[in-house]
Amino acid sequence: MRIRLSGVKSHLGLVILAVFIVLFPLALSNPYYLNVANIIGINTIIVVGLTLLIGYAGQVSLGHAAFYGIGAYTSAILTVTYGFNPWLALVLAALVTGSIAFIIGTPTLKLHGHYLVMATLGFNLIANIIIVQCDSVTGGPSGFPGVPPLAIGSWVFDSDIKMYCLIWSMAFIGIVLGLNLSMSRVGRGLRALHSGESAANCMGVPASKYKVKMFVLSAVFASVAGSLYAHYLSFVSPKTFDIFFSVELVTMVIVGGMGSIWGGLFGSAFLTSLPNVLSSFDEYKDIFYGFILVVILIFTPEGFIPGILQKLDFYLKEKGQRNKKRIDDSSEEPGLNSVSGIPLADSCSSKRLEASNDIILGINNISKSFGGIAAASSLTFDVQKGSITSLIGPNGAGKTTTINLIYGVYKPNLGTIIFRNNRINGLYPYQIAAMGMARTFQNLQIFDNITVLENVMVGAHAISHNEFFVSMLHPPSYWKEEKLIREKALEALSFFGLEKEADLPACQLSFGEQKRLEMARAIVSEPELILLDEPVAGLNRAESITIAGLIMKIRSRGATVLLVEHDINVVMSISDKVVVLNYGTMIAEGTPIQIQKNELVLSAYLGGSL
Amino acid sequence: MDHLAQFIVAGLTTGSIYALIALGFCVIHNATGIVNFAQGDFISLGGLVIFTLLMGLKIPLIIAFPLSVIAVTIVGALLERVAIRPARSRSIVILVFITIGASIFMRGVFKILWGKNQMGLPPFSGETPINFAGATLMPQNLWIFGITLISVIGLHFFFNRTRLGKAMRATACNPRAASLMGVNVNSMVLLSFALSGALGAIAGIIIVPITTLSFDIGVMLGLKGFAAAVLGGYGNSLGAVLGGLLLGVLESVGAGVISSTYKDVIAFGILLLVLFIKPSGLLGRGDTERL
Amino acid sequence: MLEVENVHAYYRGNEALKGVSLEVGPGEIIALIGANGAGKTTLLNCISGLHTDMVGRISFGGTDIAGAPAHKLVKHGLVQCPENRQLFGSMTVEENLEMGAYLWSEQNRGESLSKRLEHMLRKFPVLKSRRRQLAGTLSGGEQQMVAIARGLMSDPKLLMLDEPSLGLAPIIVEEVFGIIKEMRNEGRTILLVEQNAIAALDLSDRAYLLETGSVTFSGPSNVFMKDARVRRAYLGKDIEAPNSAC
Repeated sequence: MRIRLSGVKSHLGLVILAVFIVLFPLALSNPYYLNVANIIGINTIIVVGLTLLIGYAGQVSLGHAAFYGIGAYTSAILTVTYGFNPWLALVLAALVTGSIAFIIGTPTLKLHGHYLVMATLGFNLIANIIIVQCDSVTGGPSGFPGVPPLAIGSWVFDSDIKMYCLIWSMAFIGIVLGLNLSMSRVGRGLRALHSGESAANCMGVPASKYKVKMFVLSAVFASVAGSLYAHYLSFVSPKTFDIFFSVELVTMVIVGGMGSIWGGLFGSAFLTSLPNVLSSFDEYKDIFYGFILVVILIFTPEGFIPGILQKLDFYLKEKGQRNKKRIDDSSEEPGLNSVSGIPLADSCSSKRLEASNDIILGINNISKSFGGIAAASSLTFDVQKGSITSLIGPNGAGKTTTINLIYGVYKPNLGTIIFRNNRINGLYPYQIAAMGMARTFQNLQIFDNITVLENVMVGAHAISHNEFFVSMLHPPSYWKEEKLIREKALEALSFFGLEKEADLPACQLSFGEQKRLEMARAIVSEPELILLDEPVAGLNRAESITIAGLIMKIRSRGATVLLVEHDINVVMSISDKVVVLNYGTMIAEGTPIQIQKNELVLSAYLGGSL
Repeated sequence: MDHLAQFIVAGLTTGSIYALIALGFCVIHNATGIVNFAQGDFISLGGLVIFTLLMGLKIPLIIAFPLSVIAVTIVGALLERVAIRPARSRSIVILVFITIGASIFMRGVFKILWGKNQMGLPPFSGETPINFAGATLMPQNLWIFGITLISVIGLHFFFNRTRLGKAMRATACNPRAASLMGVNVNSMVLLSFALSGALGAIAGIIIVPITTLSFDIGVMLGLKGFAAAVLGGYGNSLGAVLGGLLLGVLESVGAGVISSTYKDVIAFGILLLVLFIKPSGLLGRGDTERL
Repeated sequence: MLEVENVHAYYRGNEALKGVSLEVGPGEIIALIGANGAGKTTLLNCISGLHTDMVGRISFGGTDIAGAPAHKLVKHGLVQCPENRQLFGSMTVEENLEMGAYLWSEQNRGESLSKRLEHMLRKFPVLKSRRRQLAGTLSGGEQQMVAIARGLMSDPKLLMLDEPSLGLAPIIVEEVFGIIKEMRNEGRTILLVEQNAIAALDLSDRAYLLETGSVTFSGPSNVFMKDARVRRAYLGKDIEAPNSAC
């Protein structure tokens, strides 16, 4: 399967990198370039963390030079002024930096929008000024000299080549940790929240917490790099830690490809060596820098490397085939034969469970207004355990608002929502996901930056537990859970006939396939209650019939389904109960036949009677 | 008390500049959602161009001033046309970084054309101090207050009384609906950059006589103007003006009363405080989405 | 006046309109009805130049307009009142109406823009009393009136209304349809997209029924009213037995 292959590709890449790292100094004629290579290695450590932050979590920081600087200065001050052991100082520096990042990140990452950029920018400016001004502690603008080299026992790292070994070992470790994290449950969660924060929350990804953790982690990486820098050059100067360096760091991430750690390595190597390669460059450095940044962003915003690879791909494979969207080819109305190899007979052969009288979800007197407009108004209804209950009503009646209220996306102004005898109004979506609910979205919110299989695996986020540390280190317990989640995800995909598309990028699926993907994502955590928001909207008759059959099959496996739908045929043929909303309140409920004959419902839809 | 009055005067002076810069950020943000990091370079360019016109070509101030503003306006429009328009479909983050790239590029060009030296411009109408309410004012301060006031009033008139200004507001509100009315949204975006350029140029020209001019004078000013915009409520024009004046005064009084070495920290410290406590700023509305 | 011929439109890689054709003649009121998701708004957006991923012929007053950018269509006399009003919420009622006549001076009209504005406010007295209020603070019904008035400001040859009754209370819906009736009586040409089939059929001369991207029925409105197809399109086939799929 291709996921293991990309694991193999990564392993291959690491082997090649390791070989290159070992051979590089042997092939070198001018020892000066060793110094450049060392700086590249140090920058790479920062860039790995920053790539995960920007490319995966989707948050931009213009203040990483400050974290780098704090790491460097803390190490320098602790070892020189206070005589600490350099390794201990490195760890303490990382703790200090991490704490500062936590303080900055927690309030700013709670919100939508680009507040982190502003906050990190402001922080970097302040940090720089303070470092320069507190000259008794930091040595001021002329810098802080005399930082001792690192040592392990009697091995002192006091030459370029010795530091090369240390720096690149640590850079290598950093890359491994970064790659591990990116391919793990946490990495998927980060990419999901980058693609759609609200949807990721509904899958159980605690988006705000993850953003803060990633920010702190990236700051720690920068701090470690800073400590290495201090012990390498034995001298720390404030000039290295200004906002221009922060911009350079982000440029390295962007140039290499925002979602790619390998690209980050390239960006680091390219932009660090550039000024060294062209000696009379300094005059024109800014012009060149600015120019390539603008050009790369306009023409290949996904980054230089991915951009080149994509264009190469385009010419090597059949023109346009690779990136073309798959087209739904089921345009005729078939008989009861199914579409995409899902035997309809299967879905009907399972015994139809009688809906019990137990109430699994109770909506009691819910009211919600948005700026004076009442979206829900004293809304009350129940959902029986094991039933398929449909919520219908004209456009603007409040159906999707109801789903959002149940799922915690909105908080009701009045009333309570009870799920399995627990009050859930007021909980956050990621908490509700962990209680045994799942949902799909009216406007289709698949995560288009990851594969089909990964989308479904994110759906299992609420029932899995590998967190940041485990995801970086990959101990045996990590693999056990990953394997389990993968199997569940593949099973969910084959339920919807998508197992062959597992490794395709989700954005390449056709509309019908994407709708089925969303549903596979909703069932993987084996929820007790599934909320489906217009699951057949935009599908043709054949596909709608197939989905309808699958919904019944889902119910026969023990789940309860609450369905919002406009397609009346689907609603009437599979529902046990139909609840009709209009103007945010319930106007009728009953069996499908009762509702169809209900004059009130007719006039709500048609505006009168026929 | 005398000192306080002096600090306030100084604060209102720099505050006026911050207000103009913040307005520049505001105009582009409202039209496009972008934070234009090249705003500071418009300021530098305004000062640099008028320096060349006044000192190099000996053109009288009354002609050099509008000429400089026009020059930077054209540069602003060029920036949009060349670097922003081709990438309009990209995400906001990409566009913001394009402005950062453009800013670095422009600064590199300025460095080559004008060198790294510090330059000076004489004040517009001499240096005879004026005493007012216990503070000493220089004529340049009056020029700054006056020109800022005229600019703000002019901008207000433009946005509220002219057809083009209203079209820009409509585009900021709802670009799709605006195009259904016949508004060419691309032209409005171009106009917003040109207008920002003009505002930046004015800010640069009027402040240079009381500070020193260098190729990167606009960088710090731009960042502080940005902090002022956030303080006032990012995207709100009245907020931009209020934020600018308030930031200038707070910075000046803080520097005078607490410590002058940490003067620059004050502006960015306020920025961080605002972001932590009320990110929508003084006049912005709160964000209601829950996560 | 408006001729749409065999338009295919694509939305997120899928075919949202599958060869749709329709016609609007001068002075006609045409209704486009169908359930949610049928493609009605997509069709309007194709005509208005807001949706560009399409193929087919669209001509207005003899001029080919398919693919023309949205802002160029106003001067041809084609105006859309989009779904959900889409007013300029932070601008006043007056300013919203002025924006409706943005190109007024370029079109060499008889009267000045301010005279036109006064004329429109006289027609909609409710708006006149609220002229300096911010559009975003008005009620749903008042906003819909602003939207329609704004659409009328440029005296369009064809006015397209996208779901004017959306989200409005029944009494207000009646008022809105009353205004549309008045426009009909004044001889204005209108293309009306509506989910509220009864009212739309009542007002219009001819109608088209759109179902998942195709026109399944078209003809005079009074014929539609009696046809079981409309009822089925909204409320589904009559079911013979419960859960007949299994």
